Order: sequence, then C-alpha cells, then structure tokens
Amino acid sequence: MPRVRRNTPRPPARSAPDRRFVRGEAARATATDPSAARAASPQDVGYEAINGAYRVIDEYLRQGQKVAGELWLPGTDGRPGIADVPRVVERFMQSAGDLGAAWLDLFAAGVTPASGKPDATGTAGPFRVGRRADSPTSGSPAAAPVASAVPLVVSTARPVDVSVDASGPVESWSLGAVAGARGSAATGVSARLAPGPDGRAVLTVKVAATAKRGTFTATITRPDAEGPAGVVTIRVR
Amino acid sequence: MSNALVRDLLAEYGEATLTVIRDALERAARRDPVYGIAADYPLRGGRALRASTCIAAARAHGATLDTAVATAASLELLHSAFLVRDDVEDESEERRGRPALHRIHGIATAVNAGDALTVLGLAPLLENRTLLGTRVAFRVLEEAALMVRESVEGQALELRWRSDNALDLSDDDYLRLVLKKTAWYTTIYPLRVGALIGARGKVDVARFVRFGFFLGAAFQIQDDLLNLVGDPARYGKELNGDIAEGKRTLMLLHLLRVAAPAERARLAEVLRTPRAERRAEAIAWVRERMDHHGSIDRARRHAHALAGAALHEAPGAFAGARAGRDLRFLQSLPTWVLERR
Amino acid sequence: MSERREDESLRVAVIGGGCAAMAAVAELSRPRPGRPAPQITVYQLGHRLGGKGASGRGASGRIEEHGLHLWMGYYENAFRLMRETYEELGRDPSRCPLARWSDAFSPANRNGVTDYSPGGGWRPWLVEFPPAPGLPGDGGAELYGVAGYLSRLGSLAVTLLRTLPAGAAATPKRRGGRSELFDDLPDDDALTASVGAAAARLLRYGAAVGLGALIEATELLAGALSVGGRLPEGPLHSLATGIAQTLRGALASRIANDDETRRLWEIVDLVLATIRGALRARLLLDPRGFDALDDLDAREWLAENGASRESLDSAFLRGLYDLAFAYAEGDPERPSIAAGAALRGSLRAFFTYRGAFFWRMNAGMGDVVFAPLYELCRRRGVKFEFFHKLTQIELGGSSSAQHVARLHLDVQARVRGGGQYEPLVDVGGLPCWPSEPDYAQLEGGARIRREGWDLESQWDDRRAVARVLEVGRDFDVVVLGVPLGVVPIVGAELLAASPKYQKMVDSVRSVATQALQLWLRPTTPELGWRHGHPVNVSGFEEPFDTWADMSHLVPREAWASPPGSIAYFCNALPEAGLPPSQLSSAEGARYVRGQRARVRAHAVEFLDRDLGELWPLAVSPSGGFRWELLQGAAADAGPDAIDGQFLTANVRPSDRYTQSLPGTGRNRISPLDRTFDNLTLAGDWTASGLDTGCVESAVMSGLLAAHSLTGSPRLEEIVGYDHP
Repeated sequence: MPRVRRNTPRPPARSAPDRRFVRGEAARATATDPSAARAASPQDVGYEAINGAYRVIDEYLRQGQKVAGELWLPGTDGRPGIADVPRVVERFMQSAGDLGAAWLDLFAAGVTPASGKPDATGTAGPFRVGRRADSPTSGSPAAAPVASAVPLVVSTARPVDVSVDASGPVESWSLGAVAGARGSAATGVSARLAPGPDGRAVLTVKVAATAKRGTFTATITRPDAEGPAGVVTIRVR
Repeated sequence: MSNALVRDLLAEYGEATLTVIRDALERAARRDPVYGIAADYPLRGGRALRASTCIAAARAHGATLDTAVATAASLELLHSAFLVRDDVEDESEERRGRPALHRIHGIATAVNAGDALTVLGLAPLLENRTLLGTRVAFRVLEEAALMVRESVEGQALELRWRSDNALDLSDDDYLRLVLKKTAWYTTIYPLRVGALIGARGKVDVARFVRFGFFLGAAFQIQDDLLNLVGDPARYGKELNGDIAEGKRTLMLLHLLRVAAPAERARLAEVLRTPRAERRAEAIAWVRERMDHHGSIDRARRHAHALAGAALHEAPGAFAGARAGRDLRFLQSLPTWVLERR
Repeated sequence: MSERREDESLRVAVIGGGCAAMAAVAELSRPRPGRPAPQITVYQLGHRLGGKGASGRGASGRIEEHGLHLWMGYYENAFRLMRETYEELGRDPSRCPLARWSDAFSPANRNGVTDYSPGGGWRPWLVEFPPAPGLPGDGGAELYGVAGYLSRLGSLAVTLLRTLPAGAAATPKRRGGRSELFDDLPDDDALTASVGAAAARLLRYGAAVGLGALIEATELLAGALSVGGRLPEGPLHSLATGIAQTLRGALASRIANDDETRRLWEIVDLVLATIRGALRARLLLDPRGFDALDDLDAREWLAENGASRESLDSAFLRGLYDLAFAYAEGDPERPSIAAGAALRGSLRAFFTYRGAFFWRMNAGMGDVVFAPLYELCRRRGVKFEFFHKLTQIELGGSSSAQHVARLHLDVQARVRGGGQYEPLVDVGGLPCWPSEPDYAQLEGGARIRREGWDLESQWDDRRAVARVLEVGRDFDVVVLGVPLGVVPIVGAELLAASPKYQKMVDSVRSVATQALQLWLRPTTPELGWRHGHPVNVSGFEEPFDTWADMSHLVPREAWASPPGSIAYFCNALPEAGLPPSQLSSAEGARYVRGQRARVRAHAVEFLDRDLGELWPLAVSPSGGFRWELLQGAAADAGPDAIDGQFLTANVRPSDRYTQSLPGTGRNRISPLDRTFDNLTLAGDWTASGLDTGCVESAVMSGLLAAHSLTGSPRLEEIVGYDHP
C-alpha cells in the first residue's frame, strides 16, 4: 500500500484511573482548616504523607515526557507516567500494618497451621488467604485476616484470629503476658517473642484445645516509648 | 548494625572522592586564586552522602571505584557550588561550623567562587569520555544537565515563595520543591548516574526516581528538623536558622495552617520583615508555636513515613543490582537518614 | 508512519451516535481558541441518534422508548454536558416547551421498591430521599475516598437505628449515663482498645443488649471510621460483626411483626456487612479501590461478610439489582453483578447525589438529550451521515504498530437529491425523532418501507451502496462508539490483532431487555394506586419488575383526547443461550420477531395476573385485566388491545444493556487505550472509570475518548474518574 501521510495524535500519558485516593478528601486533609489539621491522628499523618509523596512524584513523572520536549535539554529518558501500579505497592498494602514505622522489615507473614494443612498464601479474589491458621474442622468463612509485619507462627487447635498492631522496630519490642478480658487469666493461650533461626525476632502464638472462647491480648512495649506501643490480639472462636 | 556499614562506606568513599577533589583544586589554584577561595567549601568536609551514593550505586551495578569516583567528585563540587549560591541567596551566617563564604569574602567574590566550583564540577564529566566511553559519558552529561536544571528551578521556586511571602502552601507544594531543589541532586541523580556507569548505560534509570525522591525528601525533612532540634556543635548551622530566614519547611507550613487567626497574622508579619530586622524573640516565638501545635512531631512522623515508602520502593529500584556491601549500603540509607544527628 | 501536524485540523470519524459517541463529539467540537477545530463526521445507522437511548414518536406523537431511563443525581458529567448543551443552544422558551435544561429534567424524589411482606402480599415500600444541596453538573462535586464512604455508611447506620422507636428489649443497667458496654474503658482513649473492648462486650451480652447500647456501639463504629487515616481494621471488623449479630437478636421479635423495622434492619444489616467487607478486604489501602472486589457477585460478597439471608433477599437489594438489570443472561434466578462496580455505583448514588436521588426526563430521551445535542453539534459544524452502517474495520501498518486503514460502510439508503437528511420532526414545538425514517427523503423509500427493512439492525444487510473511507484521505482517527455487541461483527481484525480486544469481547456481557408502555384512560390513583405519584417502583414480579409512572409526559405528546396516565414497565429479558452475534439478515429478522412475540405474551400475562397487586382497580372482580381501560381500546376489548400499546424486545446488538458481571471489569478496555494508534473506543462497555452500564458511564467514556485524541478535557475534569 502506498505510504500515506497520517495525522495521528500522541497517545495520552495515562491509561487508567487513579483509585488510591480522592482529590476532594486528600485536598481537604491539607486545606487551611485548623480543626481538621488538629484532629489528625498520628497514623493519619503517615498515611497522608505517603499519599502526598506518591501523588507528587507520579505527577512529576507524568509531566516528564512533556517537559523533555519543551526545553533544548535532552531531559529525562522520556518515560511517561507509570500507568499500572508496580507489584511492590501490593506488598506495601499487605504489610501496611504501620505506616509510621519506617524501619520494620517488610515481608509476607509465614503461618504454620497445627494441622499440617499446606500453607496456601496469596489472594483469592479480594481476600488474602493463608494469614491465619484454621483448624481442619473449621468450615466457616475466613474471619478478618490482618497482615502483620513481623514473622508470625500460630500453632493452634481452635479457630483463631491473630492480629498485631504495633509500631517501632521489632527488635525493640517487649511482649507482656497474654490476658483475657478484664485481666482474667488466659488458660491455653500464649504468645512469645523470640529470635528465630535467622536471628530475626519471631512472634509465636500457641492456642491449646482447652482454651476458652474469647478475646485475649498481650501488650507490646518499647523501652524508648512511654505507654504501650501496640497490642497482639488473639480471638479464639 | 547497618548504620555502621553506612558510616564506614561514607568514610571510605568520602575519602576517595576528597582525594580527587583536593587534587583538582590544587591544580586549578595554580591557574587563578579564585579556585583557592572556591576550595573552602569542598574542603570543609561533610558527610559525602552524594558521592558515596553515586559510587555505591555504580559498584552495585558492576563498576569499579576508579570509574565512578570522578563523577562522584564532580557531584560534590557541584554540591558545593549550590551551597555557595544558597548561602548567598538565603543570607546565611554559617556553613559547616564556620562563617559562610560570602561573609568571609563578600558576595561578589563568593558568587564568582561558586561559578568556579561549577566549572570544576563539569570537568570530570568531560574526562568521563576516556573513562567510560563516549556514549555513557554523554548520558551522564545529559543527566547532569537535567539535575542542574532541576536544582536551579527548585531554588527559583523557593525564592519566589519568599519574595511573594507565600503563606498558603500545602505539603504537596513542599514536596514538589524538595523534589527539585534537593532530591534530584542529593539522591536521584547519584543513583541514576551511578547505575549508568556501572551498567555501561544499559539500565532504565527511571526506576530510581521514586526511591530517590522518598529518600531525598526524608533526608531534607530530617535536615529541617535538625535545624530546630539538633545539636548545634554537630549540626553545623545555627539553630533555628531556618526560621530566621523564613524557610518554608513542613513545620512552618503546618503552623501556618493550624495557627489561630491572631497567631497567623503575627506569623505573617514575622515572615514579611526582612531577615536582617527579624528579632530573636520573634524567632523564638515561632519556634515555641511549632512546639505548641505539634508541628515538629508531625514533621518527624512525615519523615518516617517517607523513609518507609523509600524502603518499599527499594526492591524495585535495585532489582538489577548485585548483592554485596554497596547494595546493603543503599538499602540502609532510608533508616540512616532518620537516625543521624 | 505517523506524525502530528499541529497546524492541521484533525479529521475524526465517529461511528455511532449514542451517549458516549455524542459526548465525545460535543467535547471535540467545543470551540477552542488557538487550536484548529477538528473536522468531525458522525456515521449513524438508521435514522436517529441515541443508540440505546434513542426514542421515537409514534401515532398521536406518543413517545416510544427503548425502555425506562432514569438519571441519577450523581451523574455529574452527564448533567454538565446537558446543561452546557441547553445553555449554548439557547432555545426560545416562547416557542419550545423544553427550552431550558430545568424544563427537560425534573427531580423525582419518590421512589420505591415492592416488598413481599411475611404478613402476606406485595407491599410497596416508598422512600423519599431528602433533596441534597446543589444541582448535578454544578461543578465542585465533593467525592470521597474509601474511608469517607465507610464513615458515611457508619453514620447512615446510626441514623437508621435512631429512627426505630425505643423498644422493650433488655437493657443492661446504666451507670453514669453510659451503658455498661463502655465502662472501664482505658482513659487514654486508644481507639484500638476501646473498639476491641466494645466488640468483646457485645459478644458477651448477646441478645440481652438493648437498642440504646447498640446505637452507642454503632456510633463508636461510625466515629472510628471517620477518624481517617489508618484504622485498626481488626478490632473495627470485630465491632461491626458484633453489632450485626447482636442487632438481629435484639430486634428479633420486632422484625417478625413490623415491616418498617424489618426493612430498616435489612438495610442496616447490609450496611454493616459492607463495612465489614471493606475492612476485611483492606480497601482503605488498596490502590485498586473498589476494583479489588470485582471478582465476586455483590450478594455473595455481602454473604461472605455476614449479611443475613433475609437482607440478601430484601426488596432493597433486589431493587438495586433490577435497576442494573444485573441478571446473568437475563435469568431472574441468577442475580449477578461485580461487587466492586456495584459498591462504587451505590455509594456514589447514595452519598454524592445532588438535587434529587433520581431525575426524570420530561419527554423521550431522544427528545431531551439527543435532539439538542444534534442541533448543537450541527451548529458547530459537525457533519452527520445517517443510514451509514459500519460493516468492517480494516487494519494497516506493521504488526507492531497497527492502525485503522479503512472503514467499510453500507450506505443503507441515499438521500433524494443528494443533500442532508433532516431527521427531526416537530411535536408541539419540540424537535423530536420520529419512530420511523422519513421515507420521503430517501431514494427508494417506498420500497424500503414496503419490504420492512430494519435499518436499525446490524443484522439487516440490505443497502443502497457500499462505501469505503480511507485513512489519510477521509479520516485521521476513529472513535468507535458502537455498542459492544457490534464489535465482534465489525472488528474481526481488531480481535485477531489484539488478544486484549478478544478478551474484552469474550468477557464483557450485555443483556437483552423488554419494555412495555401503556397509555390508559384512568389516572394512576383511579387505577387503585393509593400511594401518591409520580413514582417509580422496582423489585416486583417477573416479567416486568420495574414500573414507572410517566403520566407527566402526557402534555408532551399530541393526543386529541389525552390519556389519564402513562405507565412504563421494563425488565431483563431472559434468553436461553445468547444468540450468536452474527446472524444473517433473515435470521436476525426472525429472531427479533420471535422475541417480540415473547414479550407480547409476557405483557398479556403480566397485565392479567400481576398488575392487580399494584393497581387493584384495574382488574375485574373475577380477576384479569380490564382491557377496556387502555387508551384506544373498545369497551369489550380483550388481550388483543395490547397491540395498540407499545412494547419492544431489545435483543439486537445495538439495543442490549451492558452488564458488570463479576470478573469482567478488568477486561474492559479504556478509551485511553491506543493499541491501534488512531482508534479510540467509546461506550458504557469500556473502562470508563465507573464501569457500569449507565448514561454517566457512557458520557465519561466519551470524554475519555476526547481526551485520548486531544488531551482535553483534562482527566481531573472528568468528575469521578479518579475515584476508588
């Protein structure tokens, strides 16, 4: 076919919506509204900080291609904005137990079910599979899996949910005794923080068949922080 | 502990870079005394963070120290040039524990010395042609041109804020400024050219931008914090100097947003007065208000969050790097930037 | 070889004239200083624009629609388009009854679902959504992130619970004004601890918790959700679970006896399940937003998150499914919609509507939307070629950089004398589209009418002549605004060249619908409907589960003796196995006829058997519809009177309703995609951001297509595009 001169517009820089946050809400968070700013909790700040940083750098990268052409300088290597979210952000999401703790190592939690069932990890639709131990007889739908940012080993003969909410480096954690509601004793439920085979601290939770139903907690403290730095919550169902 | 590794490599690569710089300065001083004056800042010492990042990135991608050190030296010289310029434009008093260059020699001479540093900084990039081959050397030059451009535009933005007495800036505005003025030449550029040198040009430098930005931003916020709460003997600039010069830090921007109307009016007034007329007690009042409104704690958390984001981006940024000391150094930087004093 | 010449105007071939295509055309033709105006030609099959939104005028000027079109108060982009169109058109109010957009659209605040009460029988459950400030299309719409929506869901639950009259359920003793539930909570107000403790206590008290305590717990939940930032998801999830389980027990006896309580509880139960599901899926941090939930059906997702059987079968949920025709292959036993898309649409609908929840049009959609758009675009210089049907897209270029090289079209009929076809007719001062082409303007028009050519069917291949458009000569870029069902027919080369396109066509589905319009002598109250009007009601029996009272259209038609009421009914149309997309002309015609006969049978059965539930006075004492009530029917009329009314089976590829079935959203392709460098897609079946089959999705898609070609509008200007 003879060469035809075509007039084709440049493709757009983006090709997908940005679903991470909404301008209205994010903008209001940084608006000149004293009451809003004052009400921001510590966790808020970290969350907004990261959102803002990604927003700024992504906008910059998007404009990079345009800018490159506008000046006589060769400019950047002309990369348009990253349209699809890199895999690493998925991991970010998995271990976003504490955005303020910059120095926590980030990796998927390993869980050892007492029954020896194969450790199925990954996603099933919207749900993260394999972050808690099921007893083999449990047929109920998965309860809330909460990703932890510390290696977690759960050894249990009952259906449990375990979650860890804490800040600070794992190395600095001290774990208190496990207690039931209103300080009652926690028979059959224990949690321990000890170095694992590779030297890193591992949180081990054990639940015996004799454990009663209920919610048990163990407080995490740090030498340099006043008051509790977090809590391990074990819910026996 | 990883911080020890960082300290060791900073010392090692810093020393290697300083040797090259010293050599270049001595040779240049024989041509004209301005280079002697210009030598002041580079030889005052410093952390050599930029040079080390550049060398470590280069080595982690396969280069030797010798192929990378010239570019590292170039960067430190350009860094000094930026510092001379910044100190003049910010009317600073001190730099690294001693008087700022223009206080010693006057503004005109200092500006000229800054230009001299720029000249010296470009020379190694040209010498790269024999070291790295024309193609890679040219890529490095392109990167340097981009980096300098970002730095200039960043400084221009900050100057406009000051001359317009901008009071309604958001955290995003601050981040944009930091990206251009600081992160590009402190972290993004050294990573990019280091990788280019190490991989002989066969690397996609776009992958370093996010990590470099988050790291550089955390670094800068920490720097701003140290200006308020650091140990003056180790920090090297006068405490609260940023308030004195009306620098738009995260803390100041937060304070502007949360201050009660009367406080805000007073704050605006303080910022409007020329630096020379700014009274010590006004500066102290601003500092106290920042404490009162939690601006400092908030900025600290902000820095932590950004360092965390840098850690997240690290695997993607360094996917093509070799395991070893240099890679560990780079991966330890986000933690290190927060814990330095 | 492609280069961009800034000084040359871009020649755009737009295939199709539905919502998305016309939104793109309106945007592209907007005058912009400093940029040469694109030269746009719209190729439309048949005689009218509108696609699924097309409407016509039949005898007595009666409006004949595809089905029921309700606009929602969150359609920011669609309303802005219409408002700007009417504004620029500047119709003369003294001559045109719908001169301003506010004449054309009216708030419809009374909506309902029909509910099968355990006490027996279908009851209509009517809700008046409070009017919200502002008007859709105002600009400055406030949208939220996941956290914002969760917070509002929490507040909604509190509000609903508060409307329940305080009951006689057991209440734990109160100390210091707060229920025992919250005693002994740590003073440092650590959110995690208080939420966790509240959850634990709820579980312990079980059904003994009184409503007051439950409301407090829900307030705590709502308050915690509104804190923003990172939430302690585990404890909040437990709290929401505890409330849901306890609420059921606390209200058990009332739910059994009182419809009002039962309905409220059903909604609160669904709201709590939604909150639990969002927390559990960690939506707050997921960069995919609600897309992360798109692999499950909404009801399944709610069930997995603890919604009860009753609330899953509630009228409320059923109404939402009906509105979206969310039934796989139209089968009422198979409700199916992707949870993420459903959640996004529902949250936008409930929490971001402006003015009214629903808006109705005051004439046919063709008259209200497409006639003004047509007039405006013509005035701006856009060319329209009616009776042009795309048959094939031919690609060119190397295998790595393909583009549309040729467009093959059938010219179904040529205009007599070679001029422009004038498509509109005047009905009472309003420019409208007729139901049939003006055969007098067409060469061979009499023959076309006699032989019954279906000019609006992709299947009917009768034509006057073929025509080929060449890239470079006739067009530079193509906006493919055809319906999804047409893409495999005309785009075989696209599918072969791009696995992505093939995947989309295999995955994204559309459903046939059926619609019935009745004109009746009595007014709606005279038919026995005692709950006020105007109204629209969903969730009713098959085969027509949605009824809308459209009596407000009577003045817009041209009756010598006007009817007392107009009623529209619609529903999904089950197809036992979907027809293949490619049917021959004869097969296609046969299929349409057959389906239409089915709908006719449905209509007769519906009127005789079911309609009495809604209109008690419309049935005779012995049962059976009183056919003589139909406009134009004789006093002794029987079921054949239905033929004087209007019904349609929307089974042709261009008439089908786009669905959002689980697992299909990710296969939609965005209009921003430029796999083929001079082709952009437009339609509610594309990845518009909203990803559902509705007007707003189509308009967003058209705006995205315009952006893809020219960079404007900026993506930030497309309201709701960047949104979880």
